[in-house]
Parts: sequence; structure tokens; C-alpha cells
Amino acid sequence: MAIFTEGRIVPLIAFVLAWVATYLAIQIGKEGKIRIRRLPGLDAIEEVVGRAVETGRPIFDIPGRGSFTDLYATQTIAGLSVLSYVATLCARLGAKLYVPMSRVDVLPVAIEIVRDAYRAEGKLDELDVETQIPYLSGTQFAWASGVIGMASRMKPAANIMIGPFWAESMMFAETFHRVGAMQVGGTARMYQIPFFAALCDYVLIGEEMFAAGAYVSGDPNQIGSIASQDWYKIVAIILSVLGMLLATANITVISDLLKL
Amino acid sequence: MVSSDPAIWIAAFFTIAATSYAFRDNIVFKFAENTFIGIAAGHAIVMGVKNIRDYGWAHIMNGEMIYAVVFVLGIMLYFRFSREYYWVYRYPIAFLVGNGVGISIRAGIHSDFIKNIAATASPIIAATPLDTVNNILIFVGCVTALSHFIFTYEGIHKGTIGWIPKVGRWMMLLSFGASFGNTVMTRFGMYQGRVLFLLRDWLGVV
Repeated sequence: MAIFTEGRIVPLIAFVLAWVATYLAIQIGKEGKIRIRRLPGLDAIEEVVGRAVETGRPIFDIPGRGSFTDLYATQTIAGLSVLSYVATLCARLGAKLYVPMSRVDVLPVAIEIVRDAYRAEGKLDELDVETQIPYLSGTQFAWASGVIGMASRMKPAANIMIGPFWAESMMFAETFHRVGAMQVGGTARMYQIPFFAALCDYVLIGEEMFAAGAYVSGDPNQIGSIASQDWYKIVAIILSVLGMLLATANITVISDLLKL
Repeated sequence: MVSSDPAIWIAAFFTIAATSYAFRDNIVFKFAENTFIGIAAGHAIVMGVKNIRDYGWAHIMNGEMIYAVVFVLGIMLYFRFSREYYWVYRYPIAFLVGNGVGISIRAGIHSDFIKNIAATASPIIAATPLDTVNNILIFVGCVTALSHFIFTYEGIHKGTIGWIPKVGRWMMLLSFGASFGNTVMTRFGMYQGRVLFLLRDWLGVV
């Protein structure tokens, strides 16, 4: 059996380089040398929480339907980072937060995150976990109908949906829009971004949600990862431009290399 | 002719009940919502027990004791209900997260990075003018959209090269518009299916 399989050598090298780059970026991040640019969608979160306080209506934060064991785990983690930020703002400003959950493995983590945020603000007695962080259903549309029902009856002032979303994205965005909620949507699932872009007041497109998660968490590990991803993107741009120019001149060195 | 099958009547009732939300929140929708959530919970419990039996217990009964590890990890999850031994619950969660991230890394490097570069690094001049335009759009769209997602170098979003990520943003918005229209059409198709069910299978008028 061959040690190296054709078609997997370059991915292996890329993986090792990515690992080294991420490690280096995290070290630089720990020194506080990396800054993530502000995102309009992120700035809007403070605005929507403020609006909820002014109107005396609740605020919803939905971290998506992803779990920790699927391909969208990173999106779920970014959604939870934003949840921590939202919960802190809600506890500080006195807005009533609701987090309708769909995944059993994410539920306890979300509860802990919200609880920690309220505890840090000295408002733990104002949090009712059973009511405010309900587990509705693990089934997609049962959960969706539950969230829609809650939104219709509670008429929240704002809704923040950051995480992995599927077909329920448009149902949520449409319902919250109908009840007059200001919305911030964000997902890295390509098929769902258009709905958020069309119906939400602010949208975090794709990787912006990871940057938002890293920004609000202030975690040097997350900030370092974002920086290292920027490095890969710059490499990808350079390779794409070079590859296109060379391929157009009938020199296929880069595309041949990538097939290894 | 109107159907006499009770299953069709139940399906028709819930179709109308769910659709009634389009007008406003009402008691019929609430009934459908609660029924749906209740049935989903019941179904999940039954499937959970079935999965434990088929994918875990059956293997142990066949002497494949490695599956006991899965049971131990599963039982450890329940420690979150204990104040004293809460920390035990973190180990299976760490295993689940590590497993999930490990799977996604491999797919991420290969499909999101290598394959994307390989697809973009192709000749821009094609056999027909239309294909050439297509190649230019793919190349410009990919490179400029990628530049939009650079977060730690603010310089790229300002000054003389600030237009590059802006073009990328417009490219993405164009793609979102097309995707939105496509999905709305699909949803209309699904709704049409339900209306057809009501008219044909339930009422028998078409």
C-alpha cells in the first residue's frame, strides 16, 4: 500500500501548512497584534438590543440548527459566541432574551453561555432558563413552527439569527419581519444567505459570521484563526490569478500541481 | 368525489391549519403547531431507542465490546443534571466537538480551498465567446468575492484597491438574487403540490 495517495498529497501539504499558519497566527493574536475590522451587522446588535429595551418587547437569538458533530460545527460555535455577546447586552440593559433551541448537544452549552453572561452582569436572578431557553424540537419544521408560534405571540422587538440555517431561514425571517422585529441574520450556508439578505435589516454574509464571533468573544484563538484564514485567502487569490494567467498561456503547472 | 380515507382528511386538515397562519396566528394553527411538535418529540424518542438498540446494543450482543465505549460516552452526557459531577459531561461533549471539527477540516481543505483554486485557475479564453464571458465572470467573481472576506487587513477595503471587495460584494448580491428567485420558485412548486393534494386527493375536483 502506498504511503501517499494521488490526489491527496497537496491537500495534506495544505493541511500541514494551514495548521502551522493557524498556530503562528494564534501566537500573534495572543500578543494583541491582530485587529478585526468592524462589521455593520455586528454594530447593529447593540442597536437592536437597545430597541428591545425601549419598546419593552423581548428579543430572540437563534443560533441555528447545527450541532457540534456535523460539518457546520464551526458556524454553531460562531453563533454561540454572538449569543454570549447578545446575552451580556440583554442582561446589562434589561432586555428579555429568548433562545429557542433545536439541538440537544448545543442546548446545555447555550444555557451555560447565557447563564454565565447574566451571572457576570449580576442579573442571574432575572434569568428563567426553562422559559427563556426552551428546547422545542429536534425535528426541523416542528422546531420552526414552534419558533414561528412564539414570535407571533410575543411580538419581539428584535431577532438575531446567526448560525447554520436550512429551509426554516425564510420562515423565520418572514415571520419576524411580519411582527415588526428588527433583524440581524448571518449564516455561512450559501443557499440561505439570500433570504437573510432579502428580509433582514442587517446581514452577515458567510465568513463574516466567524469574524463577528471572534470579534465579540475577544478570544485570541478565534482572532488568530481569522487572521490565518486571511492568509489562506491571499494565497488562494495569488494562486488563482497566477494559475489563470499561466493556463491561458497554455502553461498548466499550477493546475497540474493542485491535482497531486 | 370527496375522499373517504381518514388519513387524507387528517392530512388535509393539517395542510389548511398550517396554511391558515398566512392570514394570522389563530387557534387552528396553534393546534397544528403543538401537534407537530408533540409528534416530532414522540418520533424522536422512538427513533432514539431504535438507534440505541440497532446500532449499539445489537453489536454488544454480538460480542463487539468496542460499542460499550459509545454507551459510556452517552451515559456521561447525563451527568449535566448533577451539580457535583457536572464536569463529567464535558468529556463526551469534547469528543463530539473534536469529531465534528475533525471531519469538517478534511472536507474544508479539499473542497473549499484546493478545488476552488483549481476551478478558478483555468484558461480564460474558451472555445466560444459565451464560454469566455462565463470564465471571466467566474474568475472576477471568485477573486473579488474572496477579497471581500479579508478581515484583518483593513487596507484592502480602502484606497485605490478598495473597489475590488466592492465588486465582490456586488457579485455576491447578484448571485443571491438568482438563488433567491430559484428557491422561491421551488417553494411555489411545493405549495402547488399541497393545493393539488387538496383539490385532487381530498376534494376530487380535478
